[in-house]
Amino acid sequence: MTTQTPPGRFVFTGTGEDYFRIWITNTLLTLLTLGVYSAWAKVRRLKYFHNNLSLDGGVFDYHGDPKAILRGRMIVVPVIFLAGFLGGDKSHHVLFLLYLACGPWAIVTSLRFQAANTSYRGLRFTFVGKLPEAYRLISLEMLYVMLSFGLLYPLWRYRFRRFVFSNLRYGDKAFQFGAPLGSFFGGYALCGFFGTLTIVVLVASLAGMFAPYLKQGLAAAVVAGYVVLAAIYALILLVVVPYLIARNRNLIFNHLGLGPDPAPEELRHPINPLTQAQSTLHRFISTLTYWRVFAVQSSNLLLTLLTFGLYRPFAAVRSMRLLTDNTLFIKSPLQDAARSQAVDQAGVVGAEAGDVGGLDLGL
Amino acid sequence: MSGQKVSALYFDGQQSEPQTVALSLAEGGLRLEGAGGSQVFAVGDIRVSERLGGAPRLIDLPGGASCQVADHEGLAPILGALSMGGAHHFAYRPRVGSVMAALLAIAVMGWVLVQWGIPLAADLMADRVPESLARSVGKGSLEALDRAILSPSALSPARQQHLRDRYAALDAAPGPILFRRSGRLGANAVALPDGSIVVTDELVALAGSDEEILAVIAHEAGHVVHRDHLRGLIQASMLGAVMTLWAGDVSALVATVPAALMNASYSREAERAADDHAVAVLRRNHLDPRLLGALLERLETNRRQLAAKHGRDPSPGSDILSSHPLTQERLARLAEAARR
Repeated sequence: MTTQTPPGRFVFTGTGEDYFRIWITNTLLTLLTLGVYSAWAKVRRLKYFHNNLSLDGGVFDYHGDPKAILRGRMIVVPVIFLAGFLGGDKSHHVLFLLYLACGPWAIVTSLRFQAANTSYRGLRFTFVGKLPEAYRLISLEMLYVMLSFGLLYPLWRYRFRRFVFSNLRYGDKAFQFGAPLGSFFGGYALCGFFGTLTIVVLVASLAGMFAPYLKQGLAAAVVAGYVVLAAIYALILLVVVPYLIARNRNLIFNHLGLGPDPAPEELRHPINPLTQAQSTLHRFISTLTYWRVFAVQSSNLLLTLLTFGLYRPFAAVRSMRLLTDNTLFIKSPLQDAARSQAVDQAGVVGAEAGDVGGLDLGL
Repeated sequence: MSGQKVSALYFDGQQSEPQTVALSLAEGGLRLEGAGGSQVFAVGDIRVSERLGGAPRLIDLPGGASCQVADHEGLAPILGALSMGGAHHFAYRPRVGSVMAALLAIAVMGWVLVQWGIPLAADLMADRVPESLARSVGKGSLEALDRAILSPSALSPARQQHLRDRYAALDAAPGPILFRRSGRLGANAVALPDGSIVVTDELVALAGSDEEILAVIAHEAGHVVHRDHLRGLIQASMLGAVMTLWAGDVSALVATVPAALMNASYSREAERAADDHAVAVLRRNHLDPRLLGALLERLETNRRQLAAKHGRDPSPGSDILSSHPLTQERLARLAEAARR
């Protein structure tokens, strides 16, 4: 069965209209069953998005068992609810402690479940991240981030993305994460610098405008404060977030490889068309731009607001299309086809690929 | 018909390269013919994916293998003959009418859930929480208020005790009654989450009689008896969860206004219930049910004067004046209850 699409292009054949109907059914049945159906709804949703995503003639598939998802939800929802509620005023503290204690385990379990239940061309993905490393990263290092008043956040984010990608396998091929930390940090630094500059200018000019009114009392100052806050929020939402989304994703994918060889030197650079024929790694290309992300995100937001949320399924399809239209997968001719991993690490992978503790914590 | 062959991609589940195969109907199942030969799979051994828009159908075969079929028209009769993958009532293209009906049903159920379902669930939960736990939610709020906006009362201990004794005689909700002075709160009364009720000196001064003070305390006691703080917490969390599920990633903006409106609606309901409780207590003790309304009007006038004078608005929450401005509806309702 030949496809007309050029090789390496991710193609998403889903449409807003089709998914809207699925979404309506899911929502209706979820409401009728007071949430129990939500697990089946999630499986149908993921199957829709996976089966409609094709690459080089093969489509993805999702194999999650709704019962496992339901079991996971029946644990997570009451736990979070109880923690928030029993803590009372201190519910934030309780939830934070819960996150520190159980967060890494929940995240790793979810990643394992998600990966093991995703397949492409009949082969499953696996996530082999280890718990001790997860705890060090998510609990311990997050504390450092907080101690640094958030300045270390970009570093933590980088390390987290690296933890996820470098522990991901497709069959017997490993993902190799080579994004340079400097560039990653640079994006945040740029935003921080220009953001602060903008805010300072904004506050200064607003102070100039509002000064005569400030004498009239607290109310005017409060209003001025709200205006400043709203402007900052808008700045972050409309400028910083789309910019960082585009930049970070491009960085990660342009320096991401798939194959047995870590090849750190090669991964320091985005794909080189002249030398790809000699490369041992499959490579990715991501071509997101600030404007594309901004256009899709802001129109999705606006339309969802205008339709009281009914636009959401259309928005989801549009966001997916944005990603697939801007991602390419370039194979290396030097690699064999991927093979199932069931042979090698039978113990670990066998458990992984099958029933991952029968729980999907959905994080 | 049975000879019809459908082209498909076969993935063996061991490696990622496909082979082209042909599917057809056979005795007792699905026949798969490819380069390696031919095999018939029984219906019970295979699983076919749902029709999901334009996506190819995926057929899971035993042993981890699978088939990917893009030819929907060709596959349909085969699946039909095997009684598999038939028309799901919600699969491909339901009619516009069904979609509209479903949307309407969703809107109605959503409304019912938020307007009645959440309060009902909160009722059930709040009632089942043991007393000690209910009180511990918000422990320390009195200390916090004492540090922030309350100062010790200027009323004489005898006066305070007199009021306490008179209230105790009403046989209404227990829980300490505390007197404080508060410029910030003005003439006011607040039920704290742990069950204690704070009454300000300013309110005592403003009241026309001790009975009016008792009426106000009875209203606040209503909040304590109904566990309104706990209930509000539960309702707000559930509402937040529902809003997040509905609005997804845009929930931050989409959810806040409806959630705020809904929360205000829940608290108005709590106020009505507390008013009813106060009227019932007054009646039970043969006191004039109009007392509450009278003091409320006095408090409202006083509050308006203070607001105009200082340019700010007191009242932190489930205090006596939390439905601002004092609606004619609330006064009318109290008057009506008093008449009955």
